[in-house]
Amino acid sequence: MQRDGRRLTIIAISALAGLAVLAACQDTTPPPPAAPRPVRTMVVDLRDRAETISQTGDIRPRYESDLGFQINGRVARRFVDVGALVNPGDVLAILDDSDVVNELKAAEAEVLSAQASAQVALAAFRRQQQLFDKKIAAQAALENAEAVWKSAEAKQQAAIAARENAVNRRNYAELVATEAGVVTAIGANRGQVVGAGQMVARVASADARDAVFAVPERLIGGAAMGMPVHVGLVADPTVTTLGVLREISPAADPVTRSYRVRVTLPNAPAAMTFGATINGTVTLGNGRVIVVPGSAITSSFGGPAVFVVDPDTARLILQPVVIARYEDGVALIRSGLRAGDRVVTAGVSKLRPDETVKLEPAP
Amino acid sequence: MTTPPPEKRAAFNLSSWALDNKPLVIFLMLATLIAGLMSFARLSRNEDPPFTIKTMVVSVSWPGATTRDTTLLLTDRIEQKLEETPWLDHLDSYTRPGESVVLVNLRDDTPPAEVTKIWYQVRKKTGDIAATLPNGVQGPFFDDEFGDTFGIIYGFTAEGFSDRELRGRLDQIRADLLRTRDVGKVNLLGVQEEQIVVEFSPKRLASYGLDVQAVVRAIQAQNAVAPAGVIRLSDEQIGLSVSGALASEASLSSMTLAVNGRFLPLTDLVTIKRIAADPPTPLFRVNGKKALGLAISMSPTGNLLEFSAAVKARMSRIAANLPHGVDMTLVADQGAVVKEAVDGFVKVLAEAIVIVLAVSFVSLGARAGLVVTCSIPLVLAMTFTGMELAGVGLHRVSLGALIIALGLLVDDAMITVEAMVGRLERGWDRHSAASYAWDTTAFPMLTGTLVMIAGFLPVGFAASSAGEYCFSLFMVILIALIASWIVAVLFSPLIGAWILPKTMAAHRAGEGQFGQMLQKRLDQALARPGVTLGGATAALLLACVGATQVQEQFFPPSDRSELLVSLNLPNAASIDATEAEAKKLEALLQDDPDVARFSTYVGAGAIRFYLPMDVLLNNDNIAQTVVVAKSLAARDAIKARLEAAFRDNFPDVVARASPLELGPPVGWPLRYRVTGPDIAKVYGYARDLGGLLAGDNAVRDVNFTAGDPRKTIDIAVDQTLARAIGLSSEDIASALAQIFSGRPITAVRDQNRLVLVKLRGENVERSSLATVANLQITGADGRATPLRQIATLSYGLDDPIIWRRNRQPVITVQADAAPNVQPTTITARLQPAIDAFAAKLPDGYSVELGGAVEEAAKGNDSIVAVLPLMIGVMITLLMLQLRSFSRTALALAMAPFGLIGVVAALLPAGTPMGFVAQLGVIALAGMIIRNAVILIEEVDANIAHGATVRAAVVAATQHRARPILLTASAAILGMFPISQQIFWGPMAYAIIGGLAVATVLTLSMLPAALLLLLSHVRHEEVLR
Repeated sequence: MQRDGRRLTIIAISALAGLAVLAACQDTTPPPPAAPRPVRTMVVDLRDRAETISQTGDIRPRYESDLGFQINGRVARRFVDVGALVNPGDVLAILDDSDVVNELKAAEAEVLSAQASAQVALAAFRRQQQLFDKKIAAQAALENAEAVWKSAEAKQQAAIAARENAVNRRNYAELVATEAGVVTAIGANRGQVVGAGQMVARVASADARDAVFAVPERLIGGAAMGMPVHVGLVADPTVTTLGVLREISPAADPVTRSYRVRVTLPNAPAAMTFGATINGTVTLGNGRVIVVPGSAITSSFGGPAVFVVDPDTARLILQPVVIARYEDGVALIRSGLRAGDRVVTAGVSKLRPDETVKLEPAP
Repeated sequence: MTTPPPEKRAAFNLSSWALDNKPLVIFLMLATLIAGLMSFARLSRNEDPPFTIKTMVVSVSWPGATTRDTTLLLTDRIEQKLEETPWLDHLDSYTRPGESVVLVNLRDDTPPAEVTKIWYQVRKKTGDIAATLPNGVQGPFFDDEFGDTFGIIYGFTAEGFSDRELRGRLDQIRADLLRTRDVGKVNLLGVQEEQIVVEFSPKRLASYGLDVQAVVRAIQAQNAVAPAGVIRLSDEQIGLSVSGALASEASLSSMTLAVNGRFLPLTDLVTIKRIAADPPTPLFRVNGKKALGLAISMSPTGNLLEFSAAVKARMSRIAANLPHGVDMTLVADQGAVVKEAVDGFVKVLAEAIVIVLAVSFVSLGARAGLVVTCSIPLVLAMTFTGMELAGVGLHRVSLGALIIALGLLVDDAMITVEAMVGRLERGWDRHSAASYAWDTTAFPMLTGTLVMIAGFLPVGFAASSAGEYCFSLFMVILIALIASWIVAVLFSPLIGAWILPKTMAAHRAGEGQFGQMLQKRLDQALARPGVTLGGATAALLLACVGATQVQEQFFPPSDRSELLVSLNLPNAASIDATEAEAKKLEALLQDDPDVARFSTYVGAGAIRFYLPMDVLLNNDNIAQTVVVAKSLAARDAIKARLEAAFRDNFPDVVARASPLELGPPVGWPLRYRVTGPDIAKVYGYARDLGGLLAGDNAVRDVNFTAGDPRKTIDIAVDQTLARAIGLSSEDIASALAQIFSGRPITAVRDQNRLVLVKLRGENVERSSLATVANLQITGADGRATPLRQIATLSYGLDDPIIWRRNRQPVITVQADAAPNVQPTTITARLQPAIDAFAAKLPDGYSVELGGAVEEAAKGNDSIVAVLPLMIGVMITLLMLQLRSFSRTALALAMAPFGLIGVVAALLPAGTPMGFVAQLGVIALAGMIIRNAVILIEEVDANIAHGATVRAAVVAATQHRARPILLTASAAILGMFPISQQIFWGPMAYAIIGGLAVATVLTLSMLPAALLLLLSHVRHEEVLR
């Protein structure tokens, strides 16, 4: 019995000990920590990133004159239509010239008459002179004849001048282009009675084109004479040219409160016809900013922030920043970062401040 | 040795009645068998037990509002009203700019029958306040069918067919499917409604001097549906109709506008095209290709396997008629999964039956074993009938319960047969032996059975989702054990009377090798009762210490070969970005040899294709892929590969590959909720908490549900300047919205569909930020004003989404656990640090625990709440049976010793103790007590017959050893087949270990204790 009892005790104790050892072996050795995940980063630097401001406007010719007759009359013929190219000296339209022709004839006749009168007066004077020389005629008669002759001469001059006038007036029945250009509008048609100075044809300078914009008052401060402006067609953005800002209107339009700005287009392509809608773009230098991808922006206590990798400890710092503006796919940071900082550009929604990270190897 | 049978008793003896009414009892047996067979055929088959999803979704939209406004004026109002919902647990909500979604979560202990009524209450209450919501609000919309499971999903890809044609075909197929019997809902997935977009360039319109509103008005007016009247004559009516309705985009293109005296074709001003919805609504992809899906659910009254077969047959007929170019793929097939699962379970059940039969044959001998064998089908038949009446179907839990019950239900038959054999060996006739069996064993057997059932009470009355999930465990065991008692007293005597021989050789207990060994051990134990007791108690204490080292678990992951991969992009991401990431993931899966097929949902979570799924709602920044692996090992290999890929190639995405879950849905296992009034500060604290979590080596993939910002461009309008020009904030806002988001202006009536006509800016201008800054707004008089004139732009951030819980902003810090580490362990380890952190937070900010640990705690609390009931019932039953305080106490005291075996079984292998294992351990108490009661009773009976205490104890132990060992080994061996299952494994091991050790102790420690107790009592009596 004793031996059995002892054996029983030994068995019991060894069983208990075994259980204890098993329990001890079961201690939870913590699994190894997960290796830090790589993060995508970039080193930032300061840049001049100008803001591009664009606006629509249209193409207008540099010079545009409304041509009209200098006299009243009825339009007899018109030789040009809208879009016609004219050179200096081209006749654009003629008035019914019967009146002026008659006037010219009358003036011519006047001249002949005056000439004849002058001749007669001259002959009379000469005769008087001869007579005076022969002491037949009185001095008074001689002076009278001289005066008559001079008056007839003068009348002759007057008649010649009048005839010149009548010739001119006859020329006024023709409307002639004074400069090269293209006809952009027609104001009168055949048979229409037009007054002196009424627009019959509008000729615009063919080559010299301007882009005209209405710039709001907030932006006008940034406009400077001689500033380069990129101009492109709205209908076909591939057609572009470079213009120079030439004129800024000093007074604002009272209704739209915008200022008219003219931009010269020295090399305007042919596709930019008058009236075409164009898009003008200027870049306003806005100070130096740091450009980061849009995916780098996260928030800290409600304000924008980015994660910067501390070079010494490989930990993340949540750095609040001030944003200048967003552009497609990027954010421009005005302050908060220094050039040379390493900024995390992907996965920021999963990162935490003070987290240890591994840099993604450069591709 | 033969004692004559006693006189016939006057009291009612059911067994003897059965023997006297053989035809009736035979009829009842046959009826039971037939009823059981029919019930088995009719029982619904499922993979998981049906449980009620106690969540409902209420969504409202307010287009144009900011996140802040939507939160304060819409979400908050609705939450305030919905706080009155009965049985409410908590309200979750998330708010996006212009969209508010509230999730109503009911308490875990809500009776499932009440849930539908509560949803009507929710609708009613929300309808009550709908009138007080701000103007412009659309909704509220409700989804109370959140728990609908779409087990059968087909994907359709089209090559050479337009989306519209494919959609048309799918509509036809859907109509056909809706005629199938028992079909519930058929939903189309990934459908993109077509749109006609009218794209204009603000710059060009500005140069024309045209207001886009004029264009819109012209289009709207032409397409309006306006009555033209009817001519009423004396005898008839003649209808009048005016043409002009737009039939398609061609009629739109041919429109000519008259503006300012000019004729302008519409196409000069705008570009018109017909495209799929842009931005897309949630997309569906199958095996890497864009697809449309058909998701089919069954009505609750259907039989899953029959329905599945019917649908498959119909679809194969349809597939045969599909033209080349349209391909149909079966994406999800619940029928196959269920069939495989049920077949697997039934196979395991058969194995268990065979084992139990072998045990009874081996131990009882051929004839007695045969009696037990014949009673098993009767019990099973009765159980199946009972299950059908109780509405319990065949699924993982009920089949496992049947297997557990198998080991237990042979007990009653064995006891009856034992009793009969014992009398037959003494020379009694069979009839008297049967009556004797009833007299002596029926009521103790009943009490014992009820005690065992009481051990499962916590499962039946636990008011929680986990409890509801496991409810059928209690129900099946209840039915099976009661049935086993009925069969043992009604049918077994009759079967025994047929099968057992008239006489049996006497067989002394204690003879044979086994009996000798038992005697020796018993003597050892009884020689030193104190040592025996002390040793056992020491072992128990050690086991308690060991129990603290056992890891806890809620439910294990499923053994299905599907993998659920979720991709979460930052909250401000567009659906196009999500689609790009999903395509990247698909590229990884496409060439993987372990992948059978996969389907992707972009912009939404996967549709619920099995019941316990953590469903994600529609959000542009999420995508989920369901990957079906070729086998379980393949699944794990894919998971490892994907996780490596996520680390390196998906920097912006929170990605998680997880197997499917068992039990109520949980999602991310580790979750801490940080709440407080100011969301910016909450994000800061959440980040700090995330850092704390990440400090523990076993934590992986810490992420946050909200907090990452969205970039905004705020346009500060100088109202006076604007008014001077004739513009207002509304003009600017609608001009911007028109260009960037687009505005629906009318709808083209195309057969039975309304195709929306949407006005928006041209692509180039729409996708450029510079457009906003350089925008020119056309006023009513046609003049274009640059936006800069009247407004200044500032660039800032706001919140794309705000989650709230119980009306406070919340950010949840989520994380995964390292493989083989349980979330409960990690939580326990981190608790002190987190408590310290929470203590430092200012007033109003707090940290709450969520995730698997919260769910497990809810489950455990519900179990603990029922424990007093269980103990009370057990004590009552024991008192009724034993009629002594000391005996009852002794029997109860045996129960804890099961822990020794449980710990010994779980700890060495590192198996965690899950919810189900805990239930098993509690039920173990019932089994142990029952065995103890048998012994105690026998001892009392012997003493009543005049034996000495020691002799009584020895005799009782020897006599009862065999039945106790039989029942224990039947139970233990019956558990082996299911110990290989993931769901039941830990419970099986726990019960095997606990029961084995407890049985040994019952045969050694209990007699020693009885000896001590009774000697003490006898001593007292002698002294008196």
